[in-house]
Amino acid sequence: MIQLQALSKGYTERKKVLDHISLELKKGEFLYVLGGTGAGKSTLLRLLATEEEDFGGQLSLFGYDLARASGSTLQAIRRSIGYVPQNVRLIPDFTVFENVALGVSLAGSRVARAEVRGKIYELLDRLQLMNLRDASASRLSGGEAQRVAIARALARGPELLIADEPTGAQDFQNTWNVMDLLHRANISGTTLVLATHDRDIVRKLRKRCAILSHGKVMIEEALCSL
Amino acid sequence: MFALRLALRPWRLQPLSQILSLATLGVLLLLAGFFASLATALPELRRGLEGDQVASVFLDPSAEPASLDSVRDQIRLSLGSSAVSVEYVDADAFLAAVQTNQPDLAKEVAALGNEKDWVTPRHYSLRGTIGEKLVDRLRAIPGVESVAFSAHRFQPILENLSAIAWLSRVLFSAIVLAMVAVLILLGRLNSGIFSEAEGIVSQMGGSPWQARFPARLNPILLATGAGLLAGICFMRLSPWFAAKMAALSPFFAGLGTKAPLLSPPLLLGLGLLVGAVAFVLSPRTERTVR
Repeated sequence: MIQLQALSKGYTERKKVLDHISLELKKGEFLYVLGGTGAGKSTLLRLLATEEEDFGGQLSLFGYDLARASGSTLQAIRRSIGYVPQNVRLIPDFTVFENVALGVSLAGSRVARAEVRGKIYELLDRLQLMNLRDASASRLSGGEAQRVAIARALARGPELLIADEPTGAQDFQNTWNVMDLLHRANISGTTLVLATHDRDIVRKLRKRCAILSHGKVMIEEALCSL
Repeated sequence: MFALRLALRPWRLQPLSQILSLATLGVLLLLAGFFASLATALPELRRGLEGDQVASVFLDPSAEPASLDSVRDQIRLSLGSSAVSVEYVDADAFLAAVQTNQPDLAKEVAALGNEKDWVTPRHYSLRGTIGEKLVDRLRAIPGVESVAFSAHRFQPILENLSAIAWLSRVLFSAIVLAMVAVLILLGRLNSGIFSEAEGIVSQMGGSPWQARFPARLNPILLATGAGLLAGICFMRLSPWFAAKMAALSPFFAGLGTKAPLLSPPLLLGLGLLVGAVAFVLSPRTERTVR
């Protein structure tokens, strides 16, 4: 599903944020991307989410080489991805429900409207956002906004879910609510790439991990032993 | 649905700026409609005035009253199917006509007694579309002494009307161009608002068209709103407007009926059209959507 070969990315000539990274991820796998601040986790996730252009090496998603993918292929790839960026990126004057529904609508879902609504309500309920469904996104706290972004990504029923620090602003209970939902999505077939600082999560929900340092994959383990 | 909600974002985030833009465009549309009406109505008014000529066919003073009917028949024959009114005027008819507006002159003429026939010679007064050829034919009728013809009677006014019509066309075009420019510039100013949503839509798999559509829809909505505003203003202001135009010149008194362009639905349509032009010409937002 994901293939990285000697993937490099730099914003300046001198310093590379990612330096010749090679990874392969099969359908249905769960990968933690770990590493300190500035290790390149977010850049890697942005590349996977097709947010970044101009990279070195090869990056393939769903069998398509991103460097050569046409506009329509790129759209199709994006429709199959659920992305939770670090800065959440909600439309501030939309309500919580509208932000989530916009994501579903753009995924090209052919499910009946009532069913979509039911699915969104269920997700909002599980993420303790039901009472905020009609609230404007601009009025949400950081943690609430993050959970809306997670709901938006999950509601699309993505084949690949990329989440950048999805629990960074959550309390204990919500952290495990989020992780439970992500884990369930993974079990039902969604490939998951999750960047996190939270070692507790990695220890309790043991999965494959890649530890980045200075733009390189220092350690890669099939079952993380942190 | 989401496209519409996204297109209306500037109304939620910068309502004052949008209201001001709407009012400005509404006033510009009203002005454009006014000039379009003038440009449409004035040529018709001009044609009417061009045809409105007067000829006085003076009869031979020695002619017997019995021969007057023969001359009248000859005149009517010469006119053919032309829309020209023919009226016989002698001293008594002249006095009756003058009595109301110039009573002193009427008194002086009446005081002349039998000599009044020499002061106000008998003639047929013709009014309508009269050309030089017709005047030549009238001159050739036996019993006609002379013909006075008001050729180019309204020439200075006709030239003025032509100039006003031409100026109206130029101003109409300038206002329409200004409106399109305002909408494009407004699109530029709002590009920050739209580029954020454009990025989100694009990242979630929306096509470039889906991503850009809200930014382009906004000028159409704004211009259509302005058309609606202009139409409502016109409905309220048209009697006042017609009175002002009539006060400007009696020639403009019937202008309201000759100006079909200035109507609320057409102002709305003009707004929609201007918005559509801005829709086509709107620049892309700064974000490049692949």
